[in-house]
Amino acid sequence: MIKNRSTRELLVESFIELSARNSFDKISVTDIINNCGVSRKSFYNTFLDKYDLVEYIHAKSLEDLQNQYINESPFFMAQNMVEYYRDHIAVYRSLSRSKHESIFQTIYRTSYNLTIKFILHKSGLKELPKDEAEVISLHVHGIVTKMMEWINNPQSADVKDIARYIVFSEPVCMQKRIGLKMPPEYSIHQI
Amino acid sequence: MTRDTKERIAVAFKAQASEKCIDKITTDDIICSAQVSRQTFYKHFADKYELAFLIYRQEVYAPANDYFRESGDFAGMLQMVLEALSRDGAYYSNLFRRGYVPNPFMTKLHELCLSSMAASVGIRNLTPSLKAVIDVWTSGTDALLAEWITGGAREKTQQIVDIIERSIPAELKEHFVKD
Repeated sequence: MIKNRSTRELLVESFIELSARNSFDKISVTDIINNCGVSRKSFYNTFLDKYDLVEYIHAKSLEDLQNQYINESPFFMAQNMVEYYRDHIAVYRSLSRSKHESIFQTIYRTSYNLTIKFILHKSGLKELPKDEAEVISLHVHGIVTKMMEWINNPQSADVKDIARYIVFSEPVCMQKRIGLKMPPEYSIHQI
Repeated sequence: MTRDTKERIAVAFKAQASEKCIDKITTDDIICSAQVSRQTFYKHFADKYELAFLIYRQEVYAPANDYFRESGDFAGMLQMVLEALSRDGAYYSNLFRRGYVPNPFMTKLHELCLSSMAASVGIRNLTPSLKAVIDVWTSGTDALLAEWITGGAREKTQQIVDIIERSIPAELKEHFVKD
């Protein structure tokens, strides 16, 4: 029911719909509010700007996924993450075509924070040592790049394969922290 | 004589690209500064991105790669790459790009790095899966290098080399040629 939906949800849906037809750079706050009948005042009460809106979508979706699958195998979590990107392919394609570095930073930073959170939860640590955090940063850059490439060419690999690449590319320190044990049938040499 | 011409073009290009972003440099800018004809430029280079890539391959990649092939010292090779980049800091910080907007130079650079990383891990038979996994590591490395050089190369090269080495995918570790 439209009545019961919050302003935030309306704006998110409006943005997602616009993304199907427009690149991120071409979508303005005016477009977003006109597409759902929310006032400008309400927009700015909810979000700082459209980058903030994107960060909200990305962070919330991935966080929900993480909470849901945190006790499942990393493959299963990775697979669900890839499926999430696939199900929102229009949005991420639109983002990937932006000429501005800031959107890339937004996605990377959100993904990085969530990855750290995941590792801390799994390992019981309060904080990661700086040198490990730097390694995770490199890894997340790699994953985000790979995902953005894939959503622009989803025929290049199927969901299961991408999920496997994500898990297989994890650095040693990360695998140790999350206690990942590879079942033999998942050996990289067998895919 | 050809080498002389190519070098003139390269020197002119580097001087320009040290001042401004490669996207803003036109072929006219380059040929004027190098005092060569348009025909001469296009005889040697498809475009400015190819020029930039060939400069990189010659000045940064080739010496480091030669060293690696002789010594098998991956860290040492990376060190050489980083030092070469920081020697031309202004130029490379204008050239390296962060983000997903495809930049023909970064694309070619990535391919080169990928094959280099694969070789360093001693993988001869690059299956699509192995390639994909190395691809993730290489993309991460590209991003780290871009951040480092555009940030003024403040961190010590050893620190950057460390991060790259410690980021190697666990699954490739067994292949990794290291003392």
